[in-house]
Amino acid sequence: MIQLTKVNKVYEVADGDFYALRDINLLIKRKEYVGILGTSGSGKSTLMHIIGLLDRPSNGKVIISGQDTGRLKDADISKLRGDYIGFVFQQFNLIQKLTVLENVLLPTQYAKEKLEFNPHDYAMELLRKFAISEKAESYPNKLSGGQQQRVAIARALVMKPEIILADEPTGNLDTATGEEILKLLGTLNRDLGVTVVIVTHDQYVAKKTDRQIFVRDGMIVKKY
Amino acid sequence: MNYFTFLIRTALKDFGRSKVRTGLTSLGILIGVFSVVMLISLGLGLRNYITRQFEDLGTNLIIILPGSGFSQGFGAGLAGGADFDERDIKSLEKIGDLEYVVPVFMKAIDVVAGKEEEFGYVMGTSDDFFGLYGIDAEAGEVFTKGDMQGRSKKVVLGKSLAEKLFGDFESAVGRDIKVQNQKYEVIGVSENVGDDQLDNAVLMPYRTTYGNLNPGKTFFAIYVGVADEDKVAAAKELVEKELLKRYEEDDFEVSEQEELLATINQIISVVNAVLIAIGSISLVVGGIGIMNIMYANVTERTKEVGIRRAIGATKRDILLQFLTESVLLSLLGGIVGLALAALVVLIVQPYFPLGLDAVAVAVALGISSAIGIFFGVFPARRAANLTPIEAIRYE
Repeated sequence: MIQLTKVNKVYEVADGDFYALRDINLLIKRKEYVGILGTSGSGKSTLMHIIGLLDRPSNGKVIISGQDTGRLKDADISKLRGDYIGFVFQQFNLIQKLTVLENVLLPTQYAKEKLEFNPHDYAMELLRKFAISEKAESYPNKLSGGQQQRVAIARALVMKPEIILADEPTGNLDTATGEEILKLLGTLNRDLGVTVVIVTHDQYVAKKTDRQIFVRDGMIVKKY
Repeated sequence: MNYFTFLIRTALKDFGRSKVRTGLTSLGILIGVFSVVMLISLGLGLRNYITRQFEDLGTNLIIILPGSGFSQGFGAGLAGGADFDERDIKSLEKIGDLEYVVPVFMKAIDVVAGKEEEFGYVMGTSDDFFGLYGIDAEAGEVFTKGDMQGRSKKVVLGKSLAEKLFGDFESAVGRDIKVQNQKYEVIGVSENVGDDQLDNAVLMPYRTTYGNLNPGKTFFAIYVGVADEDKVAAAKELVEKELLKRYEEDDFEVSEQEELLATINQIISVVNAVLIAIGSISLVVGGIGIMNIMYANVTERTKEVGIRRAIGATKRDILLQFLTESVLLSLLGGIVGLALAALVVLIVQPYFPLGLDAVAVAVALGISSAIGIFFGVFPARRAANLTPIEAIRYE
């Protein structure tokens, strides 16, 4: 579960304060498939960063999986992020000097507790599921955009997180590949019960989700 | 994969992508460690060499030097003080328990044999010198008491000098040499003892040096051998008492061999420490090189830091990753520097007894690790303190 209460994100600029987010109240339940929709500069990415614990709000409360993150230290935030949240980025953000398999396994190297599953076997299972297991030993620059995004999704899933946050996941892909990735994210939600939040400027992409939240000028203007 | 294996593998992968840069960065540490290890082994070698020379003499030796001896450094000791002569030898010989009283006059000089001319050392001494040093003639014989009294012109050559003058040492026996236009007959060649002066010496009865070579009829030092090792301290007191009858306290110094050895070792330690301190400057320069590269590395890999933070890496994970890289870079230089130093030691050892011990190895590896940590910690902290969102947005 993701719960934001009266969340503001304020930056100091030359002519006063700039509110990237203003009074955000938001509840996303477990296993939901949600789209956060907004134009460029609307604050949707800032919202995703705060939900994903990559950034802290100026004030307000952020609760992830029952934990009030405002009281957590940096190391605990990292652990929570690693254990509960998987990220999928528009630019894929794979580490180029690591192979596909090493990229997928990377989050498991930072796990602070012993995992209850074999990370290698599970990573290979994910790669097989996404039809890229034959590329396990390849480097990311040898893969197509669609393949790289599937590797990124496998990496996001390897810690068996409750939540997947996808920031413009189809932004760098052609239409057909984009469709494939959206289908995959939908499957994760339906079949694996993962909460999926897609941040996008594209209404077509947002419509694939079960519920849409519209953000404009740092505020939630409409929820469906 | 174990966490530390993961850190090391990550670092090695990064080095593999920029081999030239890795090599050049490690080079600074390599040179630093090489020079420090070489200086340590030089000091160690020098110490071993001198100790061995002294041990060859035995522990029942008393050395009398003019001035304040070695205790205030070589220069201070040999510059002034008493001019020992035959009167001192005679008065010392009256003391019981002394096995040998051996005067030594020494002068560096050119030695001529036919058309050959070589640099050597005239050493005027007594026949007891050979007994005291335990030196035997490898060819011919050494001079005797009779030769001493008769001021005979019979000399014994050090083996190295004999080989330089006559090609092979055996053919030197029975031949003539010239020193300051005076002719001397070679009656024997002494075995090499690993001492440059003795191995290149023209040993002759001390009275034979009187005249052109030693117009003042004085000696550079007097060596006293005590028959019983337990009586060395008592004999030293008697020797001092005897000499005080003629000289002031500051005009001479009487040292037991072990005291002298300790003093020399102390001087070597100080000289060595200064040299190592100078050598360490290159280590610091190497460390700064590592810090520079690591800062550049952090900037280049800011986005990667952001990605790693997004997928669960803590600040500590990032700090450890960059620290591991700087320590490995530094250790790499340290190990290669150490290996090179070991190679040089192996090559030079037949000519000079350089030493390499566990301390030198530990110092080399310890210093290079410490440098990696010290100079790596600032860039690593900078990487660790990047906020995930700023790092991941970095292009």
